[in-house]
Amino acid sequence: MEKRSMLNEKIRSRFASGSKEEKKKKRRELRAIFSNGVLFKNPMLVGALGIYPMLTACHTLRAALELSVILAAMSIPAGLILCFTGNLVPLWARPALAAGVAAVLYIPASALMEWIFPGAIQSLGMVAGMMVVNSMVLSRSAQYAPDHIPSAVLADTVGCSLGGTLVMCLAAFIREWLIYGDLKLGRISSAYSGEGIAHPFFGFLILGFLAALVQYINRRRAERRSGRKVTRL
Amino acid sequence: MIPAVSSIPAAGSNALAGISLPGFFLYILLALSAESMIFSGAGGFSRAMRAARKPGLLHWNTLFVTFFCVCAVCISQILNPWVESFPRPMVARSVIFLCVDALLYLGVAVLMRKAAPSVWKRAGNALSSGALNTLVLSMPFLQQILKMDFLSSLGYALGTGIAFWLASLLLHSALQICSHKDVPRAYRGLPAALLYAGILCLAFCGFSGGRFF
Repeated sequence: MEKRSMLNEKIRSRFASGSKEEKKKKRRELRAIFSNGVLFKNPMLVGALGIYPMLTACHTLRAALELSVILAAMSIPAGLILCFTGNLVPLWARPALAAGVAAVLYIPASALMEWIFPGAIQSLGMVAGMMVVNSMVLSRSAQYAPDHIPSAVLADTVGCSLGGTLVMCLAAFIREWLIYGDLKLGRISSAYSGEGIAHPFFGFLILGFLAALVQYINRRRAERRSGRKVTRL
Repeated sequence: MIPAVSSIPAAGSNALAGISLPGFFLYILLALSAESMIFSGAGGFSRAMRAARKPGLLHWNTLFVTFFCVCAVCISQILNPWVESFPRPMVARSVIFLCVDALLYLGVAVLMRKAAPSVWKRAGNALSSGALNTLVLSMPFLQQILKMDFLSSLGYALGTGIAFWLASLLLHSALQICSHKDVPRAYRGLPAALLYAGILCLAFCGFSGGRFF
């Protein structure tokens, strides 16, 4: 516990100081947090967090965008709320607070999705409802947000939402192309519907290959940083 | 998972109406095979993966998932008719059941901290992931979709707990094998485990009789 609070202090003090050099450093760190969320430490591809909607419902680009709207509309405010309120409750109660906040935020998030994509709740069915327990939203808001400053939380949640959107859209792009032979933004498909590659197993395969790609990119980055020569086999 | 549901007679519907006890066992089997929320429905996978990474907490994770699934079934038996009266029941169901689930988590956490601090110290980390996950929240939805009676729902919840334990065990061994140095570096660990899960999921899809090609 002590170690944790010392770490929080360190993170907060790093962002609190105001010299030009440090502001530049802060911007660089925020960019790093954002890019980690989008690609290098994408929660879906590095931690397999919040993959359920991608596996079961992302058969069409439209479904992926519908789920992305909910993801962004929930994870960004949830992160910011927990950033300000998370430290007011004990560590063991934070998951419940995060769940409560996610439940409340789901009401406007689902309304926003329904407003942008009419009929989305009906077509996504249970999968849309399961977004309230999306482990990406819950874990980021309960574990990351309370110990970081708002700008870092904002960078992280926006990055993670964008990363999640990219993965879902890419998976939906591949599936829709393979199922229908073309892409249409107006195509509505229900979750758990369709045959063959619309089944979750194909989502796992796509996710596995994408995770391997990110792992490869991260390895190359690490090797480039350490200045080692890459042996091509 | 859902498309196959229509082809299987629900215990509460015509084919098995009034035969609750066979329905109980049938739904345990269904939760482990054709209608498995984890294997063919891909729900709760990230929690199973988390449990697989911490083998010391695997049994606790399973216990909590099963307990909260059973609780969710009992609560949904009471609340589902009320939830149906809302203008948007799909949204209301998620919001209400997650709030109830969060309260239940708090209650269990307080109880464990007071009554059994040593157990809390050992298993406290597994409680939140066991309580707040897709598997638990899916119970009220599936009870509605599968038109299960109470005993069948209990069977399904218990079967889901067993399926979670099996999935965690399989993923634990898969992660160990997939982290071997002979596996190409880009695929080592999670990527290979995801591909493994995909193949496993494909096998379970066979149970549900889905067409692939």
